[in-house]
Amino acid sequence: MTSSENPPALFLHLARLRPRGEEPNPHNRHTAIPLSVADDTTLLHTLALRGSMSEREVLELLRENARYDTADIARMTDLDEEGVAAAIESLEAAGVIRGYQAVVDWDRLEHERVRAEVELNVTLDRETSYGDIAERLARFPEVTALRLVSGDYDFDMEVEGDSIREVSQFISEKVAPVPEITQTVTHYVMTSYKEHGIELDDGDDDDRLSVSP
Amino acid sequence: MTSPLEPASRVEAVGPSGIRRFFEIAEERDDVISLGVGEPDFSTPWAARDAAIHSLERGRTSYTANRGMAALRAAISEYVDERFALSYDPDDGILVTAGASEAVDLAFRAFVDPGETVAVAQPAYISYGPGVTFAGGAVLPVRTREADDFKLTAEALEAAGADTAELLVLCYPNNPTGAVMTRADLEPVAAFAREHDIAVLADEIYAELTYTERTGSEMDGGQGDGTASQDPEDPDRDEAGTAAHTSIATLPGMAERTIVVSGFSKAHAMTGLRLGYALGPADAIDAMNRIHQYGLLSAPTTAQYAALEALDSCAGEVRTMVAQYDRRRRFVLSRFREIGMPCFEAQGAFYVFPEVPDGWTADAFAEALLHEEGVAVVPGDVFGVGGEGHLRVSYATGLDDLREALTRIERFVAERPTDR
Repeated sequence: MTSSENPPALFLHLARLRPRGEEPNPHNRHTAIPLSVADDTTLLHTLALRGSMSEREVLELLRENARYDTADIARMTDLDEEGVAAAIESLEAAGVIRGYQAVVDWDRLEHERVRAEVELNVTLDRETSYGDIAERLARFPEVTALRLVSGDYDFDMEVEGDSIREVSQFISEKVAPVPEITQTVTHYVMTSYKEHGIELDDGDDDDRLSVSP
Repeated sequence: MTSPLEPASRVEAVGPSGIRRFFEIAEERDDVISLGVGEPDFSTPWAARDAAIHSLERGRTSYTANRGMAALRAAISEYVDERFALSYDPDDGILVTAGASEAVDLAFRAFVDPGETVAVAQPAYISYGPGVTFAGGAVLPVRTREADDFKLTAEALEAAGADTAELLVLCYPNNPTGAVMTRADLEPVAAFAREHDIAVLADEIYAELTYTERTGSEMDGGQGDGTASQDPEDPDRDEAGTAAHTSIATLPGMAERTIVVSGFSKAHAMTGLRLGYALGPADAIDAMNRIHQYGLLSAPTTAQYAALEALDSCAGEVRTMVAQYDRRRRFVLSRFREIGMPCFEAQGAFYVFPEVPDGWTADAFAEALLHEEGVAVVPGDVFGVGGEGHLRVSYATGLDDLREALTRIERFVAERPTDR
């Protein structure tokens, strides 16, 4: 592992402070391996089972830049514009594409945006499944992402709000009281370096010679 | 009074590069979108850069073996075998050089005696002619034609009188046309070389960058012949969905007369690291190494570590870059068709080679385009015979810039249909 791949020091610190050695959650033997979307090859291989070649191509382009227009996607593929529109429609109808959003660097806005990564541990019973708990949590608009993960805790939840107070209140008043939730560990995001595959730096200038053989 | 440092006559014989003038104009302005760049816009894969940094941190900054680090030669041997079915012994068949350019230069100096003829299939990368001249040889341009998709044919070799040549230089996938040659295309050329006992220098620096044909309907307004190779599900496509490159050295009787030159600049986006290699018969590699060991000692050590890592772990990133180039290629070809500038379907490297509209020379068009619209391209004449009337347009540039540049070219062509 290279140094740049290590989590920032604070995250490491918080992770170490996390109480350990308590009852290991027996349900955590359920180790759903999260599908890595960062690995295009995996995704495409998975999709190969469901989508047509053209749908896969269009999806790959939209994941690169969802604002490519239909005409440009047609130029970049062997499809005509109608074919591109049909592929997008079919991907949307099948629920493969769930939405299109801007990737925002909040540090560049005056407007403050507080984000937190929350680890959640839960206990299940005969009547309550992971899905039931997830459904309940996902309905809150403050929750921007929710994933069942393998490892020391059960859910990995991302929360957004306008202030630390708002986010804290949300956790303590809406999340912690959920009866199945046994523990929450909240990590406030201090700086984001990369979001959705896009590095949030100043970018590199093209320093190539303008004409070369 | 002449200077004591009067250049030698064979240096005087080589003029300044034809792209120099465009470079100077383009550098003066800051609103120029350059489609004149002959190197990737991607950065070297991070793993390779990281390996280079790590090697520096550990103080790995001494010379390596003249031929390059043993581990790197072993990795190159395995890689070229796996990718291109080229079989070379790491001990005596591979020489690691400071860029493919050094390997090309070494080959001219190692195999060309003064006055000997070197046939160069053109249009082609601009260094071959000067390299031959510096080695004391005579350049024989062999014209490839757009009607042949800029592939070299036995007829073209015949017509140029290349049967007397000592050495034939081939650059496929081609800079500047983007042409590729299949095994079937290469066979008559190989036969010509065998018949007339000509050595071959195959510059295969763009070997990883090959793409499949677009569908016939796309290109010919519905008149495509729809042959099997156009099927996107074609089993002949490799993992990246591209048609694999064939090296002329893999044809019967060719390995013993061929030097294959390649490197990491294009596919691995490592131009500035200057690392390439030559593959050839043991005696030939030994001859090139004799010059290399006195001139260079060894290729840059840091770059060798980067290259080793590139071969080890960056194949996925290469595939991703190739997929990007292919999309841009399709985009650019589509746009030239919409603009009405005829453009043969380049299937390799990262260039397309459109024709300038009637009434223009390539030079005048490129210069006016640069002045009036701030788009830099390279006139085809620069690359030798057969390049006149064409422009080399590089798509090693992000899609946003490509889109804007093509919009400007479209406007320029509409406003200036002819020169005057």
